[in-house]
Amino acid sequence: MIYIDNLTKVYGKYLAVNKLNLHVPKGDLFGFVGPNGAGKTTTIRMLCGLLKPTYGLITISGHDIVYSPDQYKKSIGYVPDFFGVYDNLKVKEYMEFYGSIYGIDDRTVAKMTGDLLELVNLKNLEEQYVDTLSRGMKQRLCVARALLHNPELLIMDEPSSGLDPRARVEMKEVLLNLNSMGKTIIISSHILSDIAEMCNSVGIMNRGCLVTAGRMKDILSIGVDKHHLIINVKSNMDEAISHVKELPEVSINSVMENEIVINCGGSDEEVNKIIMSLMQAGVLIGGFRKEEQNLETLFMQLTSQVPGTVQAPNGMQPGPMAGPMNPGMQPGPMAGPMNPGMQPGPAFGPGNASAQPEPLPELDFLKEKKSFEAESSEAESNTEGGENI
Amino acid sequence: MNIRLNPILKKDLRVTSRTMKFSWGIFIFEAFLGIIFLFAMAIIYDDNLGYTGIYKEMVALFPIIGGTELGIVALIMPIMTATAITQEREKQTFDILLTTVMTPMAIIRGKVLSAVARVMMFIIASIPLMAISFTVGGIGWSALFIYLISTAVFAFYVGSLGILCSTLSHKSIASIIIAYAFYGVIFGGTYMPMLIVALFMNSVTFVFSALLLMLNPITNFTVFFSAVLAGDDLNDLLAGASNQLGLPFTNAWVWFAVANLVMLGMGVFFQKLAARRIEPVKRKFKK
Repeated sequence: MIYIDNLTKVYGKYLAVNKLNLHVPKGDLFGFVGPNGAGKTTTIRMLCGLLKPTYGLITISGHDIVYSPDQYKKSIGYVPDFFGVYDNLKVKEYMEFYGSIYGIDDRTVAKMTGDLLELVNLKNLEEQYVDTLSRGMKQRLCVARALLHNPELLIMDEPSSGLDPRARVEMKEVLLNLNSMGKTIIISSHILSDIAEMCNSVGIMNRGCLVTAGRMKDILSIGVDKHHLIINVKSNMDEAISHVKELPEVSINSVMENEIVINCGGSDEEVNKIIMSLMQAGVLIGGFRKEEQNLETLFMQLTSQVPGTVQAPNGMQPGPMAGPMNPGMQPGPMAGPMNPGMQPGPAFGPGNASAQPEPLPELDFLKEKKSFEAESSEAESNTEGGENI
Repeated sequence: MNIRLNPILKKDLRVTSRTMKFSWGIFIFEAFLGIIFLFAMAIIYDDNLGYTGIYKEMVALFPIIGGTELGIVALIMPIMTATAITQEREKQTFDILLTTVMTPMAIIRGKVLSAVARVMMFIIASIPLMAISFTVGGIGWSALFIYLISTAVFAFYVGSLGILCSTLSHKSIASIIIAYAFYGVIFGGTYMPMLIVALFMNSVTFVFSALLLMLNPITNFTVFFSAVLAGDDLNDLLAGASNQLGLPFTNAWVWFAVANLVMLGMGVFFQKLAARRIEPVKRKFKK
């Protein structure tokens, strides 16, 4: 469906997106997450054809924005983070306007408008002026508009930003409904809980690099060999600390007034052993719990890591030619996103939280552009022949 | 037959016709023309006592009303077109347009044509006023028809320049200022080479600087109004000047027709430049 190959965007001396490789299969609901300035919106804008990549290739169903922009644009429906409206235009006229852009006659648009408005829970609002709708309604209308020409891919940049909780839930329902109908959807968002609930695959970006990408369950398995065991200590905290320090393959993560957080393997057997040994040492334990790995903890972990220390999901073979690190996903044609086998980018390493984006010493990789383009056109001709997809 | 209008033109016309601003615009435009008309009539009545003299002088209403209309068009076109793209950007509707199958050229063309169509509504609404100089002044209807066509070409030309200015800045105010600066070059700057060569008379450069005036709507409409009012006298004058200075046109109508084609061509050129400015990823064709 979508192949992103070595996608790079440089603004002056600032590297916004660094050699991003990704493949999203048809029917996926893919979530793009990352901190501010990670390069999500830049990537989304390049994906929509609103920004020219410095180099790299994006194809959607084999269509490339440079050589077949019409087919490429027919394949996408774009929903921006903020939905601007035209004054004095009714909902049905708004849909008619975009319908006429795609060459759909007014009668067909009128029928489709009814169906699409029902799909996004805006039924019977055809005669309402667009600028009088609430923000949530406008956002859902924008989704209906983006679906008017029946695109294969829906690209949404922060669709829930600025929405109240009810509007967010409604938007989530609309997206899940669309995905169940087979639409491929890419969403960029800051709201990790929404992404975790909705998406079946996810990509985490940090400082211009795709730190990891893959199926949600595989991504969440990253780092599960180290769990947090949180023990509530009623008495003898000093004794508990010194005792834990003596235990093998266990380390102290943090100590609070009544709690001690331990890094351990996380198996029930190991947890039992730790609790029993603490009790035998005379520590009075009020309770304990294992902290589950979720997208939020993983996000915090991955976006503050040193390059090269991110683990691939179980079963993935890291390597320079591997695709997005996931057994369920097809490897991309070129290098996969960051994994232990990947070389960091030329300007600054992916996932290096302490490193500031440095100015490029010299944009050496830009010199590679010509040779890359030659390779790309060769790869493209192969792609057209159906070899890579 | 189903004629497919440019979607932006269709939408803009629909939205514009709904607003009170548009109705007020037509009202103010007509009221202003009416005042100019009455003022001109008053002068004609003061100067001429006999009825025959008044009818003869009524012809002068045509360039007065026409010139006023063209001046208003020149003033409002930058506001209409120089803000066309910047307003789309400011309202954040532009990105959505660019992700549709609509080509940048179609977007630009739609914006220019909607501005031209709105201006032409103003012009057409003023025809009854103009008609007085035709019915009593003895001007042929063909002149009115040519005037309407060339006004549309003029609006297309200055509108295209305005839309180009709209792509040069992200702020509406800046775009309007840039547009007026460019208009200054076209309306005033094109006379400069003529003035310079007049000091150092050289027939070759004179031809060049004279042809440069084809870009200047003031010159072109002066030729047009002179041709309508003076008829063959102007052609005799032009023929004399052509022989002396080597000008390629000896007929005022030929000059005006070529000048309109030049303005049309320049309009398309400005639109192409504007389309290139807004196209985020340039299309390439496979070899």
